Amino acid sequence: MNAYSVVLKPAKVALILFALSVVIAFAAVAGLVRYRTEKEQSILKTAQQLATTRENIKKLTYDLDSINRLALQYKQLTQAGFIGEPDRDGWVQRLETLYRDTRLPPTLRYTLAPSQPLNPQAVPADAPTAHQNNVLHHGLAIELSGIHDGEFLDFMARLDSDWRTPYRVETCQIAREAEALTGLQIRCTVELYSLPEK
Amino acid sequence: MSMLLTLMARRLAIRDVILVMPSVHYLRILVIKEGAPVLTRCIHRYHEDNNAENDSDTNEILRTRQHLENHRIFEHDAAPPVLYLGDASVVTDHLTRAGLTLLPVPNAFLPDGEAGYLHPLFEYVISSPRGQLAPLQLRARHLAENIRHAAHLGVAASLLTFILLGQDDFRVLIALHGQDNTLRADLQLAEGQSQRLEGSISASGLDPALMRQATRFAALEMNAAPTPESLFQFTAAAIADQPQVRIKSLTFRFPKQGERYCQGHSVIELPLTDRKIDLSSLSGSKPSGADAGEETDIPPRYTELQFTILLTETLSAATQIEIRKRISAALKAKDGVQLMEDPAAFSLINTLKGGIGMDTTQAENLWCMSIPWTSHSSGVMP
Repeated sequence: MNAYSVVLKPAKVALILFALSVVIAFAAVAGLVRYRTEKEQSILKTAQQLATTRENIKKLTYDLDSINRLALQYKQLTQAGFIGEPDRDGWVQRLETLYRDTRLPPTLRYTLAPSQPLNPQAVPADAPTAHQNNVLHHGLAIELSGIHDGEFLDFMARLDSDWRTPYRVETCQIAREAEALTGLQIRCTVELYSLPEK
Repeated sequence: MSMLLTLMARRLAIRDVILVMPSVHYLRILVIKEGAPVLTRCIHRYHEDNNAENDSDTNEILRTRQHLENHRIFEHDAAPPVLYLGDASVVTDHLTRAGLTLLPVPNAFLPDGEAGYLHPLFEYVISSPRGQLAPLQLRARHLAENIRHAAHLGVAASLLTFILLGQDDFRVLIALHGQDNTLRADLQLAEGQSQRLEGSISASGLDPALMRQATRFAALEMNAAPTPESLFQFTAAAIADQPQVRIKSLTFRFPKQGERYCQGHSVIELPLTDRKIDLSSLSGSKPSGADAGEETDIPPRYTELQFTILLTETLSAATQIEIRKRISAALKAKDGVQLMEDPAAFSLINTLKGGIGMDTTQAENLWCMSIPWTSHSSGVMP
């Protein structure tokens, strides 16, 4: 037995206790710091998740609110053929039918141009024309002649009520024909719109 | 200890000596030859009886002398004198009989001498456990006790350090634990609510974004645009007070952003307060970042309207001018209308058109203007 052993052996238990206490204290302090850091990160992560979920709830609430608020308008637009595949044949057939029903002179001429996107390139969501993204427009050139002001207005009113087509009259040139009695010469461009479903 | 005693002997100019130092528990014997220590012994004193002790001291001294002789360190007849650093009277006889010379204790080492303090000091260092020269068992026990004590202090210090360093983290951890529980409960509630909302939306089978876009488009592009009927009414209202006047031609269009109006004119922007189209009935309360475009200020939209008039009867030039002025005044009175071609305007500021062989009456009777779109909700022209 060497000299160190003579001295250290009786104090072995105390030394082991000391070593253990140092190790445990160090491990406990380090563990506490580490656990605290992990806990803080975990809380941060939970808080972020909560914030994301709340933001999502806000968005979903807004979405549900939109559905409840806009359901009627949307249904009307869907019935008008604005949503989904454009019913180009239906549009012109109904136009012809409506015109025939007005019993006006058979002078209606129309040309329905191929569809074109309103925004050739989709614009960012915050752009003023973002609502035009994906919307297709179909230029319908209409020519009428030999009808009078009131007849034309009646025809427009019937389009408004019965055509069941999403449109707006983009341009019109209305001129009286040389003979006042023969009526008006009308050239209009009607833009028809469709919005394909995503 | 031996070195100290050697130094002491040198100081006394003693070159050869058997230096004996008795103490309570031990007897130390140091042999110095020619000023250098050649042998040192430390003998435990067992006996309680003083006489036996003294005998034992004498025996140990004689044994030492025998050893010196055996190893020829000193010859029998040249044995060095003995310096007994203690009460020498008890060993004097024995040593004298054995033929050893006993040196008198120097005055300095007498109990009342100037170096007398060395005796208790020596006693202390060789007997006290704290002394460096104490017996190994005592020293070991003493050092072990010191170490044990230090270790216990270390344990306490470790515990204290842990408490001091860890208390802040521990306190924070308790707070964090509570916060975590609250957050998790909130998250669970929020996730439940989110799932319910998703379920409701999914059950409707509708795409809210598509609905918003569709209704917004309808409001901005179809409902907000003036209808031909409203433009006819607008024009008719301008000539309502002129029974001799009929509309000869009427043209309207919706110029795109950046396009010129009335052959080269631009619309002067109205104040911003009048620009925004009312979409409050469509928007609702929006979450941040959802359909950001709906919050965007919509650029003002205008209709370009131009018409010419036809007089149903022949009127004097002055009357015609007066009629044109009245029509222009009626148009200008409409809110937001910007008259760009005005046949009644003063010629210095008005565009003059004409030519040889052309119908000047048409140029003279042409009104061209921009009319702002109104809100979809009102649905009427200004």
